[in-house]
Amino acid sequence: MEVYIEKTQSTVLYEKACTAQELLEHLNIIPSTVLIVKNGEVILPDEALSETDEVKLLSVVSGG
Amino acid sequence: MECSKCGAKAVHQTTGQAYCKDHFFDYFETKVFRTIKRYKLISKEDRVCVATSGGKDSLAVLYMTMLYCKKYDIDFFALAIDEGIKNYRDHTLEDLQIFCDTYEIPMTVLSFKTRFGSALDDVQEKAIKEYNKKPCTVCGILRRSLLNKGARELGATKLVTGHNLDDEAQSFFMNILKGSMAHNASLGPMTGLSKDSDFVPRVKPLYFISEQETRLFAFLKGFKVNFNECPNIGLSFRASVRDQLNILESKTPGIKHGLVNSFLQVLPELKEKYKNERDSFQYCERCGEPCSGTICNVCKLEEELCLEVKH
Repeated sequence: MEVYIEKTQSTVLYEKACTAQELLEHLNIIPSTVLIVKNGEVILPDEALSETDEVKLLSVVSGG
Repeated sequence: MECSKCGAKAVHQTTGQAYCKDHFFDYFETKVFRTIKRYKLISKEDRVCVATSGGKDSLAVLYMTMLYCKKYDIDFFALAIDEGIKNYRDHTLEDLQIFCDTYEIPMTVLSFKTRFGSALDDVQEKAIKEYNKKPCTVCGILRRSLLNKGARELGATKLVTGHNLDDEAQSFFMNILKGSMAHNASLGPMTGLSKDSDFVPRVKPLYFISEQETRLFAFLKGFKVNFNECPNIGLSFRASVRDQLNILESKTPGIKHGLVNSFLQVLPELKEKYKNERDSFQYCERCGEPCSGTICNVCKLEEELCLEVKH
């Protein structure tokens, strides 16, 4: 799956079905610091992700 | 996970509750309006100035203040500060202009360049090299001063800010780590209270809303918010505290709420203990603005950084 990380403005590929929680752990991202968006819709960390999903991790951190 | 209220797909989870999109909006509005009423942040007689930058927090607080003020027929407007941070503030101000046009909100922009003679970008190198002052320190002093002056000049009786639960937990924790408990007496849902009318009281309707909830609200409402972190944020002590609190929160959910609730329990005692310090302000010998010493921080910066402050 294609995963866009807003904070670093980068895209990574993850080729394994998993839950969003497992994806965040893999990427070493703290759940409370992002919104998880799967195919345009917000999901919770317990939701399953498949290899064809498009995932965005939107940063929740304040600008400054 | 399903919404605890209706069984639809949940988009947000708190301790013991999950919410679908519609019930999340209900939860958010209820929490914000309850905070405004419980702490008497806004009254019908107020002229409300919403300090806003175009980021997610300020758009969310501007939207909620608009709902509240329209519901109770209260006068309000938006005030933005352009600090002069290239590739950052210019983008957020564009988003803000679109937002205010969409909802027909009166908006005023005041800039560092116009009011202090220099943009932040122009003075930060000198501040760091010659005075060991971080950009956030300089920005904070000038922005606070200009917000208060601007709100006052525009006739505001309350200044709404987008500070959220994360901001408050960070500030409380930072003051503890620095040994500055007196500064904690100046935190809370309403601050800047003074007998002096030159201070416009600051109020925080998002006080019990987390940063994640604010971003979710902005996303679900379709607000145009570009992720655009201030280039100076990495230099701040706040950023370190923020990261550490997020790590603790991931291991022990609820610690930010715990910190803020603990703070609110001791706030009355802190206010009493530091009452004299808080009430014993003077007026700056140079510009006449209220301050804690003989010369205010803006005038000190004016001298150090060769600013041309329009008093």
